[in-house]
Amino acid sequence: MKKYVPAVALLLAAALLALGVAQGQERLVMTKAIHVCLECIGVG
Amino acid sequence: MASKSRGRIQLVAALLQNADLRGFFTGKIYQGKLKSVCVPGLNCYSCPGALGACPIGSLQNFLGSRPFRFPYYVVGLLLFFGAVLGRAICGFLCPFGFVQELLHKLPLPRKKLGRFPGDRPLRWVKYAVLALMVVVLPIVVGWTPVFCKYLCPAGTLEGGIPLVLIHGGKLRLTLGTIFYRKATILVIVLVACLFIFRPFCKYLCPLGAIYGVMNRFALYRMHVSAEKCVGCGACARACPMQVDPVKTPNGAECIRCGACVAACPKDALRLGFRGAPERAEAPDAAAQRR
Repeated sequence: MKKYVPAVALLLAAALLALGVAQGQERLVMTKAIHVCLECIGVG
Repeated sequence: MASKSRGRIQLVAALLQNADLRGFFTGKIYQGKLKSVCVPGLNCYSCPGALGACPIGSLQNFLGSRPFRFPYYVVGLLLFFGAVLGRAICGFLCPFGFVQELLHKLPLPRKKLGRFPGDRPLRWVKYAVLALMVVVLPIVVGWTPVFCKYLCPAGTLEGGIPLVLIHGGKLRLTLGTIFYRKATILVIVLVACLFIFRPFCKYLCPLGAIYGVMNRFALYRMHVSAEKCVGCGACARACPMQVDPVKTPNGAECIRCGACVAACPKDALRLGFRGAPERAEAPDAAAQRR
């Protein structure tokens, strides 16, 4: 059983990625990442 | 893998993830399409050179969003990275891990701490950081990004300090308590690096917590030959993460640095992908056993 865990994990990863891309989530990631995160750098 | 090769890979990975060198002169962060992809290690996307998104920052943004959106994309990427490499990402690809190792290697006179009282319980703190700061507080309270705002020293080092230095006076005037608090945390972590190997990775990193769980089943893993191992303990003594590779070869604390493999006198340890054939034995190793 243990030897199938990586394969299952990779299949699940692929499914989650596909679902995320279908919902346009990579664009949301980009929207946040192209702006300076003022909280992250402790400004303001 | 030899220490020098791993060091070169770490350097190349750090440079590649922060390759927008123009940003260090203009003070503007990269805004291209590569920012839609999360890098595997802890690398602040507010770093002037960063080409990708930080997975922990991205995760918090989704979890704290209203209405709530499950972060399928970010979780899928983390699961992919972790299932393939596990904590080898920490050992080879994380820029902040690389900085900590460089500091630890500085030839300054000091006593380096291996295992010390409190080391083991402190290893659990990173799971609490992950659960509370990255997951619960963003979901329940909508605070985001809690980890980035209150703890992450990588953000201060890679984003805050370079941007303040580049922009000078006008940005410096806006610095407040949060910046100085985070800068203090950064200084504590960096000073701790002189005495402890990778203290942030051991005790605080939520990404290390995630990949550590996946170390148990990741494709890139430690293989121990029961036939060759003589139980000398050289591997455990060599491990900078205080792991016993024979007892827990694929435990959550191993960052796959290879120090144990290099230390083993019987060639009983091997780091590689699951299912990869054993390398042909070196002639001198075979002769030694005879």
